[in-house]
Amino acid sequence: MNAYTSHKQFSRLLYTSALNVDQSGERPEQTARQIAEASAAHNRLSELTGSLMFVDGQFIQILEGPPEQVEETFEKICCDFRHVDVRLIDLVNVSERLFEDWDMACLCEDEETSLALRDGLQEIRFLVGINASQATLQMRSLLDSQSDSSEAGHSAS
Amino acid sequence: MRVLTCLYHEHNLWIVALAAVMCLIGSLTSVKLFQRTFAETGTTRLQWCFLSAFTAGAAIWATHFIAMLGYRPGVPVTLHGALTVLSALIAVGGTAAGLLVACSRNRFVAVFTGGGIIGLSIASMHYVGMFAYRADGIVRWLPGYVIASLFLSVIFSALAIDQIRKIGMSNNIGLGAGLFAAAIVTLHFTGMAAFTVIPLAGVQGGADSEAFSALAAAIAMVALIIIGAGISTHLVDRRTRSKSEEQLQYLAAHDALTDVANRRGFAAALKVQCDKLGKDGRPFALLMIDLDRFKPINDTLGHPVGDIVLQKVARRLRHAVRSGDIVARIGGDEFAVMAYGLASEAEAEALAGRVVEILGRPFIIQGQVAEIGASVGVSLAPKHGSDPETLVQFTDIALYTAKRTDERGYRLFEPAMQEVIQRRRFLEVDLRRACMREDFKIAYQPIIDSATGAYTGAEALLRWTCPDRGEVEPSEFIPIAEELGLISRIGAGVLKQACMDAASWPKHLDLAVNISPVQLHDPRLPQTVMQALEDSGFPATRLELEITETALLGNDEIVMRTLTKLREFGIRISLDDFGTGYSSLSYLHRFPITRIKIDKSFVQRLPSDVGSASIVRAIAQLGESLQMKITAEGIETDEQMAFITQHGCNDVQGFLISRPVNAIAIGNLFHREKNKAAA
Repeated sequence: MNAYTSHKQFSRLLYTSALNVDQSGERPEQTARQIAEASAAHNRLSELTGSLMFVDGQFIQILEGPPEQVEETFEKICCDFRHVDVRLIDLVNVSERLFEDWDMACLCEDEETSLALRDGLQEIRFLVGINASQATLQMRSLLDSQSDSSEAGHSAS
Repeated sequence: MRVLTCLYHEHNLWIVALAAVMCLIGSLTSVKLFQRTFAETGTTRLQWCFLSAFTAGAAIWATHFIAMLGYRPGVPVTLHGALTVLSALIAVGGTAAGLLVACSRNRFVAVFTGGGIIGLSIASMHYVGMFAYRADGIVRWLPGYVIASLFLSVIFSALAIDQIRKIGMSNNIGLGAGLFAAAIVTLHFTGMAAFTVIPLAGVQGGADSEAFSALAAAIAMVALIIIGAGISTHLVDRRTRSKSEEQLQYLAAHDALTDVANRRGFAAALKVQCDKLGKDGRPFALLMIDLDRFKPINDTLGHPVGDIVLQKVARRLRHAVRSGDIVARIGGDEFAVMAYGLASEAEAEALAGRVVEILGRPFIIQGQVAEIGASVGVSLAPKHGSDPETLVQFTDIALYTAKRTDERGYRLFEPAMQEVIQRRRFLEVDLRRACMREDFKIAYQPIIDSATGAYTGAEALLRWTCPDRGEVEPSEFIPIAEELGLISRIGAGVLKQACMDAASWPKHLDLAVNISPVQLHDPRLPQTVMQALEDSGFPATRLELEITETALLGNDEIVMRTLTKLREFGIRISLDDFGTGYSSLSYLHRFPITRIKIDKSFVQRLPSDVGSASIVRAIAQLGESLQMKITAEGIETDEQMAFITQHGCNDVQGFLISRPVNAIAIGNLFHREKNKAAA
């Protein structure tokens, strides 16, 4: 916490998109994971944090950070043809990050996904269409439960 | 002959060769600089003239002097310093004067006077130089060769100037340089042939040839340095100039805001591609892109935000096309793409689809969200055309069609589109003319009371017969009239005429007139209506205005005010085509509506279609409970009539009762009926 946190210095953006089937190859989950990894690498260099979910061929991503960087990154996503049907769900100014500890957390549905995670993902996917801020909070708590349950979780401290 | 024998027998050929090289390099450089001098104007010309004269003078003098050092008169030789320097100055000064004159616009003056001055200055440099050359022997001059040398020098110089003026700034300088070199060389060796030295008896012969060789090399070096400085000045200047020219050209062909090609640059590129098509060029696709909903962004978020949107649009377009394709901004919110080597229509459509997709995604600018979209028209070269005008025209047609009719947002040109557009253009012209001449007719369709079968009134319907194209459906020409802004005028005319016609009807019969959404949004509508009533003497209470649900969308403040005012006059309002549009029930109680007209699409499926039957029943009940009257339109069969009557629709109209008829026929019909009732 510092003096700046009283100002709403960050933007938080939530969008959904579908994976372009023509360009995703044999294993869409792998493509999704690659996107998340590339995104995390990019975010480490910038000041962005966030979370990427992939469920039923659909991306749900949160980007948070300085407004210009959020804007720039979203523009990059809009220029990316691996996404189709890009929908901006929410764009708000916030004073604190929710995903401070994640460059780009990835929650992807694949064969090894536990039943609990799968349910969590489905719930968020449903929530996104109704209440964006609720969906955002749900994503955060799903991440928390994930890092609690697995030792190999993110190096969050 | 003596020139050649003198050259061969009395010269050191190595030094002569050096002089020749000197002369050639010097001439090429000089010609290049002369060209430049001629091309410039004003002070710049003077500066280039100075540089040229210095370089050419150095070349002339060095050639002469080196060649002199190669001369072997067979007697001791000394050089007079002051005269030698003077000879060099004459070469520079004479060339400068000659060049200035050669810049003259008059070709004769330029070539003969300018060339002559240069030729004579070469000669005077040579002969002054010869006076500086002191040979210890009996010197004899042959006047014939002297005169010949003067003539040759002047003629070659003049020809050289003429040639240089002719070639302008082109690189074809060989002939010019050759002629200039010839002027220098012929003068020198003809001049040398005029000069003979007979050694004096007893004087030891031979100049110090080693010292002379060293001197020759030194002079050659200095002269080459001067010439080199001249040519490099020229080259450096040309590079910076061509660079700034390139920059200017880039600015002229590119859009400053988005940094893609502008209309001009795009037109040029299109022309180049079209010209190439003739000789085994690749096929290409032309896309024209029109942004939808861009104007509201400028209006609500401001022009700076609009400008950023345009920049992002240009950047996204470059992502959507393949590298090498050309993106251009050809108007305020219009873009174009030229995509090369597209083999099929499917590929072109895929590209258009990408453009629509990428521009349909949201834009975020300084925390504001802008949602626009794009329509794309596509044409293929050479399939659809191979000249720029045709291609642009066809792409425009495709774009126009895409904007109106296509849900995907893009359309590939088809020849059939042309006919549609053509017809539309003709209709626009005819419609304007018809509007001026008030060429419209009104047909009236009677309405009867479903319970008694008696006439209750008639609906006025607009009819237009185009002189060239015959009868045109209202569904075709009314939207055009709305777009052209003619509908209010046409509507006012119809209202007035209908009121006039209906004024003669029996007093219990009503008149229904359709009002278009455009008219309804016009705040002057109540005034227009009252004027029509006043002019015709038709009572307001017998007039019913039919509006559609779409007219109630959008700015309902104005509509509400207009409708309320009309109601206050006693005019009734009915909601036409109910059930087809949004059919928001809130309209029914928010707006002062007195009647609902059930759309004929439901009526026509009666009574067999269960869904339509329920809808008709529901609307009838709704009307009853809201205390609104219900009219069923489009009754064609007795079964439909029976169903409607049974379910409580108050009034009916349709082909079963009567087709729309003209004003006289409806008047007759109503009066016959009245007389029958009276009798």
